[in-house]
Amino acid sequence: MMKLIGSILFITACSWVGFDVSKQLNKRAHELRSFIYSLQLIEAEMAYSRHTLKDIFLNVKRKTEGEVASFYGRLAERLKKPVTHFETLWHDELTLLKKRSTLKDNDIHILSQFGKNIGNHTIEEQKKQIKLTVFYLQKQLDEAIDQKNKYDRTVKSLGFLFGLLIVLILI
Amino acid sequence: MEEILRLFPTPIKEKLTKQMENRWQDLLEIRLRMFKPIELNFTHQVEWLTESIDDADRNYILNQLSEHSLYRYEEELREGYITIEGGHRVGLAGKVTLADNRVKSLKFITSFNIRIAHEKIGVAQGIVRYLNENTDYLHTLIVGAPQSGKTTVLRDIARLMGNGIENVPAKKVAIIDERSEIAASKNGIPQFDVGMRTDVMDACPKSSGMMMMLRSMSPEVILVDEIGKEIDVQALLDVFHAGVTIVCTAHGSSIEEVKKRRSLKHLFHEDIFKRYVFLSFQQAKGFQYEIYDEHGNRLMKMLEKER
Repeated sequence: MMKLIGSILFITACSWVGFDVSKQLNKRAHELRSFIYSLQLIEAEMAYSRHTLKDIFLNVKRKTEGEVASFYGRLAERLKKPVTHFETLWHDELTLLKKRSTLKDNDIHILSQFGKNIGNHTIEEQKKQIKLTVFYLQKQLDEAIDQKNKYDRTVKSLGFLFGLLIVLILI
Repeated sequence: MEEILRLFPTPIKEKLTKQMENRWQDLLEIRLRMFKPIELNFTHQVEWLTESIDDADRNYILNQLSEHSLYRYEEELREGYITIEGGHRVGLAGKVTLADNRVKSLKFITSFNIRIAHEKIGVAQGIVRYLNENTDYLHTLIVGAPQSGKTTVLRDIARLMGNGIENVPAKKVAIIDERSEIAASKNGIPQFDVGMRTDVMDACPKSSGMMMMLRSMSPEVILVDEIGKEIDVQALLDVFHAGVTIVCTAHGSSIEEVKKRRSLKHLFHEDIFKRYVFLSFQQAKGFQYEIYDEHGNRLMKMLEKER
């Protein structure tokens, strides 16, 4: 009896790990999509409402969710005080974002490049840079979706099957 | 004065605070030039800070001016000034880049002139009294050299006209605030007191602003600052023919000189103005004004010790 309960628990745990990995895959695609959306919001706010970066970030925070929203929220919060280099601020927050989100090094690198140019150019230049960043992020997103499609079901069943395998060996 | 202090890097900010003590009310300008001592212009004297600004400081100041959002100021950089919170205007000089023979932008900014905006409530009390006939205001031109207090006076005139004075009830006042100096609006909301019945069209080119106000806001008085271009004059004539009272300012060292200006010729051709206010400022005498009627008769002369 104990063996049966133990086996069921073990298999459940392994399947759960499989599901979790699949969730991570999904989440990265979701976060990349959120970032692309946020950049488009930034472009619109820069071109039409001409708000300051601080106000733009606050608006973006309201319109996005999860880690993306808190990333912009923290930026806006820190911009309330005098900031010497915006680039450093952006970089710091990206480091934190990397820890908290499912984004990969490449994704963060693209965003970090973008941070070097934000705020110190004309609208036209800003638009170009946003377009370029969106283009690169889109590529990352395609890759993320690709990976998701490829591995999503595999990792899910792999978790379950791995659990089953161990149980069978041990029994 | 936090909105001005925040522009400077900490060492300069500390020196400046120490030097200023409580004399912010007397400060007219802070002038910064690369690698030169910082100049402080007061009502009655000029002072210098030994501190100077270098490349890093310049970038810091620019970042604080634009709040890290330079894309907002394309137009302003072309015109050579940025207005910050509190209505303070920061004039800029540096190297200009051209496109098709027109100024495209200002790069390598090397000089800053921070003009401190002062809200002097009541400064135009003595003036407004002479600008009406029965219960209507008369078309008025305010003339003065730079730094003679034109904008400060215009702001207080708006407040008095919009709130009403003893014998004239409050009027519907429209301000076209192209440089955001008169009302110092933040997100469209005036930060200075410009009167109860006053509407402000912020950051709008004067000529289009006047037409927009005329069409949509049914003003009784329209106030504009610093007319000079022919296109402004054309719009002013339209306002005049629509029967709305005009109060405007123009740069000039005397009323005669302004009358001679070619771009303003049409205005005087039609004898629009019924009142002329001449403002002057000298460091020794302080702030003075004189009011004339359309025939050039002086209605009053006033000397105020305190600007």
